[in-house]
Amino acid sequence: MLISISLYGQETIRYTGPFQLGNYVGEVDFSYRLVDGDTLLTGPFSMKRSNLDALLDQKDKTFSFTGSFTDGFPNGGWNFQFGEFESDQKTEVVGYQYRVNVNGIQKAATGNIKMGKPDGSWSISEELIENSEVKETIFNSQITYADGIPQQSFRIEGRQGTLVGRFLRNGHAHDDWTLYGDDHTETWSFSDGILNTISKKNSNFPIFQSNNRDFRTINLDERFVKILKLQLTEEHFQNVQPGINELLTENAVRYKQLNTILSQLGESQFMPVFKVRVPYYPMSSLEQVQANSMSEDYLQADKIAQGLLDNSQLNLLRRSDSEAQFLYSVVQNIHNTFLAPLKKAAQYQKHEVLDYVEGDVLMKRLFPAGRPTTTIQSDEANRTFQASNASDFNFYVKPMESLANISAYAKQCLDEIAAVLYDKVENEQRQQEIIALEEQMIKDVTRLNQLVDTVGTTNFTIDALRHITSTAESQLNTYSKKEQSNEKLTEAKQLVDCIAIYEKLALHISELPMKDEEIKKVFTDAVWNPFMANVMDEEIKKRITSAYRTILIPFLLEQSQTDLDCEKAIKLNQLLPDLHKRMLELREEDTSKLERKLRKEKNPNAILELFNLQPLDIN
Amino acid sequence: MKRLAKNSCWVIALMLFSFIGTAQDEEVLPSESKFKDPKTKIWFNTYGNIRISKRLFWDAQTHFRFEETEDTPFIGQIAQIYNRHAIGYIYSKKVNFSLGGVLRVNFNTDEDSDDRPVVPEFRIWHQYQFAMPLYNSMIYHRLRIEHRWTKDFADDSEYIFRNRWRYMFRAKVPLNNHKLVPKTLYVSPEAELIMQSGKAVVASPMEDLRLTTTLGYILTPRLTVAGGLMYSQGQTLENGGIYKQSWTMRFHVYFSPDIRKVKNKLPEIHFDD
Repeated sequence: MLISISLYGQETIRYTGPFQLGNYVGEVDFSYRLVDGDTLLTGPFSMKRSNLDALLDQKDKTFSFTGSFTDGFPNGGWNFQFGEFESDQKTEVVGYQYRVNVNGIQKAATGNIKMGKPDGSWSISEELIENSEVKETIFNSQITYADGIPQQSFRIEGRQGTLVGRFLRNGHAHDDWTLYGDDHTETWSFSDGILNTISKKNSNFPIFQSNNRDFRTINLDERFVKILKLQLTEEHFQNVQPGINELLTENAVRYKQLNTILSQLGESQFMPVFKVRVPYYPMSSLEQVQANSMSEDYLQADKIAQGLLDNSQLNLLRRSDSEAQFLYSVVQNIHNTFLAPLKKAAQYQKHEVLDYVEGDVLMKRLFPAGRPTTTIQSDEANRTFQASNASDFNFYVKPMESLANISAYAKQCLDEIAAVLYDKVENEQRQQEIIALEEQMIKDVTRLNQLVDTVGTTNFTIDALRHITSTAESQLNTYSKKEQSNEKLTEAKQLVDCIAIYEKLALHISELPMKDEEIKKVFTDAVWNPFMANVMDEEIKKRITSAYRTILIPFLLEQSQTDLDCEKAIKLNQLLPDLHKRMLELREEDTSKLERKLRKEKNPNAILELFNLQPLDIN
Repeated sequence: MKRLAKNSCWVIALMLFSFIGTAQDEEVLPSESKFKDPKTKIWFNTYGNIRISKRLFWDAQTHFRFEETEDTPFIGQIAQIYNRHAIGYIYSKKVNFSLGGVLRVNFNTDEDSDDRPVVPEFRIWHQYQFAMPLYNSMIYHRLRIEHRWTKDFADDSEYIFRNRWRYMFRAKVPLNNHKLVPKTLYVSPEAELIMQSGKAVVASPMEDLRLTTTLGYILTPRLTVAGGLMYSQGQTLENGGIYKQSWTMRFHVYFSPDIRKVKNKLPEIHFDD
């Protein structure tokens, strides 16, 4: 048994059929082994898709990946093709094949992979196809690798021009990397991985010039671009941005696309790891703590600021409240002068760039117009804002400490402003709410009055209904005479609830005549009278109906007129429908015992208990 | 032909006469009918109609009949205690039949008599009653047939057997309501003709003609009270030419309890299910 399982584990299984790989859906053909529950691809692999109908109809997106795996690693020759084609729908027959002309774009990548890493010459290209022929090469990258490390010279063609450069054996960029554009050339001059100068058009930008520094080898990737950006002024960087930098980024994006596909199938490190060396200014542990606190404070401060700036009620309120308007403009100012630079700093920290830049340079780049002060301007000429403990914050200490202080101060200011503004908004909201509640009360009491008006003055419920209405009205009067206070909102809410309860009670009571009719009907039986030879209506279980009619209902009506308050109304609201329901049930039940007991009982609460209902406690 | 017819009439008349003459022990028919002085009586009648199943009821009537004598004017003294029982069958709301027995206890009200003071009387009876709504009233037809064994108070008297043929017409007209329902006062005129037959009955087939008017009040669907005055007359058994008469005040209680279990009661009115 055990042997057969282990044999089974070594067995190679072939799969052909539909398959999904990220966004790609197509037909695959590959083999795999199951090792410890993992699927290890091994042997040739191919995945394809093309759809003639789609091509003829509109547009077809085709792709084809072929290569091979060894123990889960891509290994051997690989070829990727991605096409996006349209057809002019003209066909011709050549030999025994139908031929269709296509227009579109064909992306391709070919090369060798050695256990997941590029090895040998790799070519990645994008071509514009017209009438099934290459019309223009949009992108073409030729790089040679040795076990994943780029070697010798490389060549990348793109819209910007053609970049030519070379690497040392260890993958470090070396010598001049020159982009030959249509109208200008751009040259990055490296020496053993260190970028010394960038020359573009007629300008020369010195980069890492100092010799006495500690250098670190890093990949030429986004992080390097950020470090580069910190070395240049904003204006200079904008100048440098489009050329080599862009082309390298585009090249990296294409490698990444392939790596995404490969890494979903197996182990792969399919990235062009160009190596560069940059000066290293390691932060002390104190500086790291300060950098962390800067980032944390910034994130919170930004949340508060966005919350305030986006608050629609505050935006309304500031139109009418000058204090709110002043604080709002301070927040805007903090957002621009504090938070925008801090955002960049926090990003640098996140991308681990801060170790590669001098503190003073960093501060200069973040605050080109100088560091902010604790006194924050507003759009009101004569007013400025300062946090209560502004003197505790010094913005001119060591760079990282200053940054941490600036961030902490921004958060402090925003905390103080938010406390004031939210209080204002809340107060405003409370006022609005009270107004809405008061309108509600008046509407409810009016409705209550209308209900009473619809009941005839001779109705046995009229006194109770009138009492309920006057109770609601007098409570409304008491409320309206009260001074404005913090509790007023709570009181208003309570009163609205209470009036709703009174209204419900009034409804229950106004329904009593109807309910009484229903009970009368339900407790009536048709009886054949032998002497008259006719059928007569007979009221049955008279003791029950009479207890209901002559004791319980008068009692409940009386109770709704004595010491009526909300609490009592809630109980009555419970009891009245319960009583009706119970009466209907009693019609069907065997009640001979109950009827006997009712003969002597005159106490309404005792009767309610006999009916299995909750008696009403009378205070 | 005419003559012959005339003669035969005579022959029949003669035969009848001689027959009566033999049966009634030399009693001679008077040349004109004679009416005795009316007696006055008071009857207290209870009528029970006890429902025992969907279609059956127990008809239980007890009457106390008083008769005026010279010593006891007006209310009189007890003359008969009358127990009438039957099992009734409800054919429909409007039609029912009964079959049962009567035990009547007759008291001798003749103060001068030395005869037996109490004599029982037995009957078997069956009855067919039909009701019809008419406008806001109801009218009733009642056919009652009784097989009756009676005997006189005299020591040596034997039981004689007679059949009674009774038809009663009665109406009930509500006075303060548009139909006969509880809390309704109604007036009920009635007329009953009681004929009799049997060996002992020779010249007096019309035993009694009763004309009554009653005022009743329906208290509940199960209880009604009524009171009225009845005039009656009829031939005496001894002599067909002599008529007895009486004025009777009648007081009635009608009750109709239902002793069935609740679950068997419903539906109350659907006899035709």
